[in-house]
Amino acid sequence: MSAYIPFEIQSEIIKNLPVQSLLQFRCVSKQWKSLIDSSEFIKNYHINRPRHHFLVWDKLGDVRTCTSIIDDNTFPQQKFPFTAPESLNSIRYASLLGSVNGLLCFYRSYGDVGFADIWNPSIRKSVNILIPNVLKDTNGDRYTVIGFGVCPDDTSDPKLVKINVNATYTWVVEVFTLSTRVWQTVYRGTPFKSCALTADQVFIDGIIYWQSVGLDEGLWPNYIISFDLKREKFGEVSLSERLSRAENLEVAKVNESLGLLEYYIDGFRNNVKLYAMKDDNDKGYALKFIETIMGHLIEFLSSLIFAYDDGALLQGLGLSCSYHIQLDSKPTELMPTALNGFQGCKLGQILIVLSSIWMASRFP
Amino acid sequence: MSSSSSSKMIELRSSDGETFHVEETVVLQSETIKQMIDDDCANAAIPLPNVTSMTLAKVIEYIKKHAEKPKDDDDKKVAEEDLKKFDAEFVKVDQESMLFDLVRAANYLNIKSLLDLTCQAVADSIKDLSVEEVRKKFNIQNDFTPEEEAKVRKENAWAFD
Repeated sequence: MSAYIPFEIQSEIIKNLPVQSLLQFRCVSKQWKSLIDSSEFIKNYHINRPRHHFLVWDKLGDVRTCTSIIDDNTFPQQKFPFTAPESLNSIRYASLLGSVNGLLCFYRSYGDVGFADIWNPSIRKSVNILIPNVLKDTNGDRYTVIGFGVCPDDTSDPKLVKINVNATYTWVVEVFTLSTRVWQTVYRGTPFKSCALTADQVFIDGIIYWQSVGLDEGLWPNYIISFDLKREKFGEVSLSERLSRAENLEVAKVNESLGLLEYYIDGFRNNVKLYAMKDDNDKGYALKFIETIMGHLIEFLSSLIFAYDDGALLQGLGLSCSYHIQLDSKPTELMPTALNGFQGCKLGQILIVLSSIWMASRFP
Repeated sequence: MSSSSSSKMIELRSSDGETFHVEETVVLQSETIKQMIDDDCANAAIPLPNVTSMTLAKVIEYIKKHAEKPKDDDDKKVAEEDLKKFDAEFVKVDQESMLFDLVRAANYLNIKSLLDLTCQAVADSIKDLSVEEVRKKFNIQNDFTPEEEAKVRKENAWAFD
């Protein structure tokens, strides 16, 4: 049977389709295609109907395997092996830079060449980017840090930031834009004299935050360095005395804002404290962090940590991947289901990724 | 409970001339009607020329259920569960045309939660259809040339391995 449904309403229906159907229905008509391909639709798709994808990573010998579980009402029956891009399978030592809008970015380097893979697991598409002139020396005087984010403007273009730091603390910063595939030098100078960036990053609201360590005093104080993708400017997030001296600190994304995780040992137990930003309006470079959650902590297989409280589920990954996301869908309900679902898997690492159709039509 | 001043009744008239009396607090979930009341156009029966009595009865059933206020926090959890069940049952209609009628009514009356609910239900019902079936369902003319269509299909072929 058929019905007259104005396009305005059709588009409301289209918004609610899962990714696979969207890709298929691009050829229903020109109108459908241009809606699904529009940057506005792509940008809002995962926001309007957040559907989470759990990716469970295993390493069997040298081979990475990946299982995908979509967090919807078919969970946990529906669990299927996931085809990671071939380029990823060959990466033994790739690390996850970050996950933004359903895109994952992996990075690894060989000698002075780096490779980044931007992968959208929802649509099984990946783009490989060669990164020339990567610095690495054994005592760490010269090094390269890569950042990943998505331009906060209407183009929503994925971007890479390459920071080359030489022995005299001079930074050369280049930005790569996926749509044009061009690297552009945006900064040359010494923004922070005595700090060493780490590869840990989070991307929030157009800004990449890296954790870094001060080198000047022998105390190795913690710093948070930020880079604004739109303004192409660096900044620093000031930390309290206590946080700057915390032994094991990690940047995290909490409620779409910058947060910090502090790992510490209390007796024989590993613990984690979460620091979230005091006030949403309190953005800028002088953030005040407050300790909010001690929550329950479940730890198993040492690489997987769940911490949650009433308001937020925070999922932490161990060691090589450090990625955190807050789930807004009833964490207390999700917990037992999620854990049951995973019991059948050999646990490696778990990523939570939003279903998204980024890169479906662009960036062939 | 006796009716208080807050439960002022609003009269709605469907396209086929049937009238319905609904409490104002309930009917305010419709942005369209709220606007009419704000503009002082609701002194007589509000005509809804796009909505049949059968559809309007369903819509009223929905907004009445969604207007119930839980008494305390414990109640709130139960009520949320209850509402979820209600929503799931609500969109299980025998005839697909009824679902489409509800989508159109929700859109016309501007009741966002009902529009979301019904659009999700339609999306669920079409997500596994073929492209041709979708065109048929929505009366959509295929405006691609065969070459263009083949090209678009090919662009996403890798997603279906």
